[in-house]
Amino acid sequence: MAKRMVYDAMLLAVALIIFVVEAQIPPLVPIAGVKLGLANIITVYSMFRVGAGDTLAILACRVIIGSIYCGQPVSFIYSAAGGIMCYLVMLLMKRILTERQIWVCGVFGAIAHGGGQTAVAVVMFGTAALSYLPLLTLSGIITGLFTGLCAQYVSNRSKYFEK
Amino acid sequence: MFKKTVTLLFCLIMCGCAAREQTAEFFAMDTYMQIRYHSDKDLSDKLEDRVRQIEREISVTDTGSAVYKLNESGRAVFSHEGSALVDDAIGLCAKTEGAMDISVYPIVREWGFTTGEYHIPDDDVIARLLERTDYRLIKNDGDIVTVPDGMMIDLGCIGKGYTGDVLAEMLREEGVRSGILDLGGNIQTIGKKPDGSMWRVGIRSPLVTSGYDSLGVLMSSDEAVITSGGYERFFEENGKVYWHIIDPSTGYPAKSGIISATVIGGSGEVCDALSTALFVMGEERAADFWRDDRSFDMILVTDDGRVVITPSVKDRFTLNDGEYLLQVIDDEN
Amino acid sequence: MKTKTWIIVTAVIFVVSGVLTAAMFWGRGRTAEVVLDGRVIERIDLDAVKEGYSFDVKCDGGYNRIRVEHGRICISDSDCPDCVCVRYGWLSGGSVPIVCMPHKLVIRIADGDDETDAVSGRGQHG
Repeated sequence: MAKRMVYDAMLLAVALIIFVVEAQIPPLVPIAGVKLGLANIITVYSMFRVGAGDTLAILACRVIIGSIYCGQPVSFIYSAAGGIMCYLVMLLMKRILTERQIWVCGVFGAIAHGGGQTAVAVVMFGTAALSYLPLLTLSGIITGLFTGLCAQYVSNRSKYFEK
Repeated sequence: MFKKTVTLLFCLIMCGCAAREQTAEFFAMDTYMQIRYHSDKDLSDKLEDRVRQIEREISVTDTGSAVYKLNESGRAVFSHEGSALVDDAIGLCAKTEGAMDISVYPIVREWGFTTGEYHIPDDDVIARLLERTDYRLIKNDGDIVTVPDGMMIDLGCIGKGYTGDVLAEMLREEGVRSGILDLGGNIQTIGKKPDGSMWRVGIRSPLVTSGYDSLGVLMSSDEAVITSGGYERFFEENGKVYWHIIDPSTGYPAKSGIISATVIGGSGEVCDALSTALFVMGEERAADFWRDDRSFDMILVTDDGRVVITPSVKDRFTLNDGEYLLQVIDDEN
Repeated sequence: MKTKTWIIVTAVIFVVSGVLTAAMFWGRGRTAEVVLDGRVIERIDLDAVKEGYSFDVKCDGGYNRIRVEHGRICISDSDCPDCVCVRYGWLSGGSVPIVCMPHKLVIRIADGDDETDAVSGRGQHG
């Protein structure tokens, strides 16, 4: 139990470092909501290697602590909504994907993340915000593929550092 | 249990956020005002009523206003608010050593800038009017304001800025945390944009030929950004351009080498006054004034193609137009 | 499911959202709103305009003639005293509307500009 807690804490720390470092990089595309989301690597990884419950805890802590470090209350709401959607989809994906298909989880998680963000935007600005969905989906596939593949490779080598 | 608590927390945060973007727009104070803010309440009528209330007190054309009565008879009873505004205005005239003067109104009127019937007045007319231009002769005694015979005042140079302060305060009291006020080109920002980024305020290019393009963009949050430029109201005669910002010491349009002065700061009223005053002062006096004061920031555009800024503006101002040369004011006294 | 299936599914979503994004951004015409005394009286999709045309808006004791062309709009004539609105020239984007103070008429581009949220120093009359 204690060992698992330490492992979770380590994953959280890594996720937070990635999150904070990414926040320092100027956005590649000047559109609100579009970013790499590298911290997602940890979410995907822990979903498959640690477990659903632990992943929720790691994700929730990362979103909350991350927005304390860098972010406004509003961006927290976006991250939270995106995070919840992303988590739910990953939960589903976990049941149907094999160990070699972890990257798919990254893609669909990122798409769901964009969906969650759009949902918040719709609540705040009305249905006009829906027009952002295709763009967020598009960028979600690209960034999700990247983070998903990262998680896949880390996972493939996990036998070297996991017991 | 932990999972449930976290989920519940997220749901609560999301439900509490039903604020929508609202827009109030109306014509007041001889200009078009547009106020965008995020709130679950529609505050348009409240905002407009408040603007009309201020306008009724300080309008120079409304025959019922205190300022109109003062200009007609040399004496008028002001409301507490109006009286405080007169005091503020006199204080700002003194602070800028008369570079802004609310009693310059008769000269502005003589040039036709208030009516649109522009003409160049005779020298002796200006000389005569200049004798009656001195804010120090305005007396405010317990909300009763008096001016010497023939003097007239116009609070227009701080009126819109003050109104912006009042409206921004009203919105904040109503719980608005994100908004942008555009009172005829006087910009005031509340908080940041709903997505958490800074408001992007364009600074209008002072050259008449470049239309309505922005000279540059300033990232802004919780402040007033107010620009005075010669392009606002002007006329041409015999190839010379005459604009509406009158130098109170000469009675002629201010030719200080500055063609646009933007002042950034917490108080719209002060920024409004200073943007006019700095325009009149010219680059060197303006820079000295800033070094002594430092409660505001500024972006000055000179007639030789330079954009002069204060050091802290540097990181949040982007120049669009490559034809200008960006210069940062020396911090040292 | 096989990995191949997942690749195909991902590719399909990619293409569909790509097409939709393109449609959103290229097909989104700039819409001009003509606002008389706070009421939107006309909405014009400027990018859908093929042939230019003019129309008059009757206001309090006067009129403004509005000219619409592909991608742009202006007030070409007005009987207002100062004609600041006519001097503005063509409006095709940005956050600075054409304003005719005396007639309480505003022409603006609906969610037109990502560059600025507002412009400081717009001018006394507009």
